[in-house]
Amino acid sequence: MSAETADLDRLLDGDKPAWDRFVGRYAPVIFAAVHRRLGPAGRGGDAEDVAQDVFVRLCARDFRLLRAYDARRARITTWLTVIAHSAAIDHLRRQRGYTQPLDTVPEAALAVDPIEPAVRLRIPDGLLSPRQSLVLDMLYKRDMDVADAAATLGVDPQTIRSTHHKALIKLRAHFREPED
Amino acid sequence: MSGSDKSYEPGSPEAAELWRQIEVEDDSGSGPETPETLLIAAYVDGTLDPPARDRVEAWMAGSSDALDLVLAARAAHAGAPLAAPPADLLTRAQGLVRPPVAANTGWRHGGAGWFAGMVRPGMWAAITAAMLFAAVVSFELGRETTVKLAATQTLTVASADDDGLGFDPIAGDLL
Repeated sequence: MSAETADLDRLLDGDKPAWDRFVGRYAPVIFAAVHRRLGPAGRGGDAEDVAQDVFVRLCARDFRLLRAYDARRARITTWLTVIAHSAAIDHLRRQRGYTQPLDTVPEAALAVDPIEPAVRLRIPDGLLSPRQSLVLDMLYKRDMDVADAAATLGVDPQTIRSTHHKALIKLRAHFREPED
Repeated sequence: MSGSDKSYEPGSPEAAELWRQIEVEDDSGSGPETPETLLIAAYVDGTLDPPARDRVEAWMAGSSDALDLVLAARAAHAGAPLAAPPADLLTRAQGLVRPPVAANTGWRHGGAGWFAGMVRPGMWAAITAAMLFAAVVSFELGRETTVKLAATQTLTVASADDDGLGFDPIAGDLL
């Protein structure tokens, strides 16, 4: 049992110093994850409150969320990062629902860029596997390179190329493109 | 065959054009159910078996927020140094858990320990003193009522004798 896991057990037994150490050790991880999501959205100033909300969730109802953590399945820093990022996304969604009087909004903010109409063709469910859809999304929608996509999915770059190739073969067959 | 396949290299114009034909701008969240947090973390750490991994990837394929989350979690482990959080955050977060009231109260677990820590020890002494005071006041009021009742009965007996009835109402015989 690692020192961190032992300290977590003491924390769950109600040991106050163990909780203080937990906060000191993981506040940078949680704050960084929250700020990384809120900053680009222009809500970096809310990061401290959202990070505090994460700690409230962790100790609420007798540490119910913390008790759900299993060290055998994932690192605690990864788990906390996922929770913190999700909290930041929830915060942004709540902010989107906020409305303000139209007169208080600067005119420049009301400008809408022209959108070119695009023909969207729906693909049948099951034509592409989730991984194939993901690879295409990362390469074309997010402009990621093969190496980054491979790192995201935890596979080697050749797997990305192979998955990409198979996906496009399926799409070509679906749209019945003429052979060159 | 190989000639036409070559045109579908990642990033090739032909491949990008084919992608644009099928891209669907649907982020309504109507995709697969969000996996539990620990499952997502296990996926990021690469500890999932293939069926569980497929479930997470199906969720990621259905939501741009989902893919953002996984990308952020991976970036968090890229080794970049973390900025120190505000000092206020540490103070506020550590203050969420209070020390237990006493070591031998038995109230050491989570929320109960927190509640016990919130109750000041002097409050119990004050409650006990108030209960004792109420008991004494009740006793004195009861005793005063009994004394008044006895005095009223004595007055009633004395008044009956003064009427000259010629008989002792207590003895019940004619004099």
